[in-house]
Amino acid sequence: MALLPIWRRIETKLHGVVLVTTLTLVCTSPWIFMGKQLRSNAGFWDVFHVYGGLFTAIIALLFAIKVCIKGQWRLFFPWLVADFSQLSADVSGIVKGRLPLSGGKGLLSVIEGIGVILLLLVALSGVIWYLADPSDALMWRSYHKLLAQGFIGFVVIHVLLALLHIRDFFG
Amino acid sequence: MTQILLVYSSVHGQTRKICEYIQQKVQQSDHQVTLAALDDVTDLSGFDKIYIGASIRHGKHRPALYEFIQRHQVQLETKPSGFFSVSLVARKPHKNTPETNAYMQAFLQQTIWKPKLLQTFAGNLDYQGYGPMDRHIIRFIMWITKGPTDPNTKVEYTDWQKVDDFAQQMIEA
Repeated sequence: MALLPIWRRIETKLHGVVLVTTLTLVCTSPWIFMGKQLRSNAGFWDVFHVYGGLFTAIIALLFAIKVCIKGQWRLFFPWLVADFSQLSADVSGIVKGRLPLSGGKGLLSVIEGIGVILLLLVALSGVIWYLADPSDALMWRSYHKLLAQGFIGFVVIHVLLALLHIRDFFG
Repeated sequence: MTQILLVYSSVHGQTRKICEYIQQKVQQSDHQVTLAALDDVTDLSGFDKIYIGASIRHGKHRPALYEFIQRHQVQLETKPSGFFSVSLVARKPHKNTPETNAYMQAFLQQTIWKPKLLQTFAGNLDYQGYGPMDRHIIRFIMWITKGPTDPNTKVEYTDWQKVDDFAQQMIEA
């Protein structure tokens, strides 16, 4: 219980921290040169990617906890309990030309939930790449890259959907 | 004495301020109002009436609000209850009623609870009170929608007469 005030202070900042750390890692990833392991003469961006990535993995885990606690997982992952009520309403609305609503357990929340899963998978594959036996490291590197590309795709969709909020301000 | 629980989900403090104002107003009549943050409420059984005020963050009410409602659905439906939403969008005259406010309409579509008493209140714009991310996002939206973008802007759009009317409706419910 003593940790509760600390948790409340950091939980509101987690989304922003995840955004900054993941975008920094993605944007600097073209400059890294790493195969099986972190070389003894590794460059700055290699070291930054490995240890920045490990830090981001911890933040990703905290963020996943934040979106799941107190039963909120039902909003982001309603498909886990076969609840497709709002999701199907949003999809049928799109077919009729209506934009989906933010919040609840509709399409936008489900997409955000998929983003959290992708973030965790990117983090997990990165950690395993770091810890893996050199004979398996290249395989985990390829998984990590593939999942990171999926996460980048999610970020693009997430930003576009976030821009939908602006419609609420117009008359 | 009627026991009223007033639950708030506040991000930058304006919803809490509105709730404190309501508490003070309602307690002038024969009512006891307990104010509590959404995350701190576990038991609604000791209250005769329950009201919730929630603000908008990044275009939606907090996910915890929906979970709270689902958890306490029976109590909310069997006792006199109400809900109000606080947003900057509600500063616009044609978006400041439950019927015309998009966030309230989204809320009503996404929750099983159908409160009898509903209201929307305009919030507070205080760029210096936000973190850098929120400040830039809100300034960007204001720039697109021709709202105030000066980083020192501090405007309270809340219509306190409207809040008085809501408090009176709470007493009469």
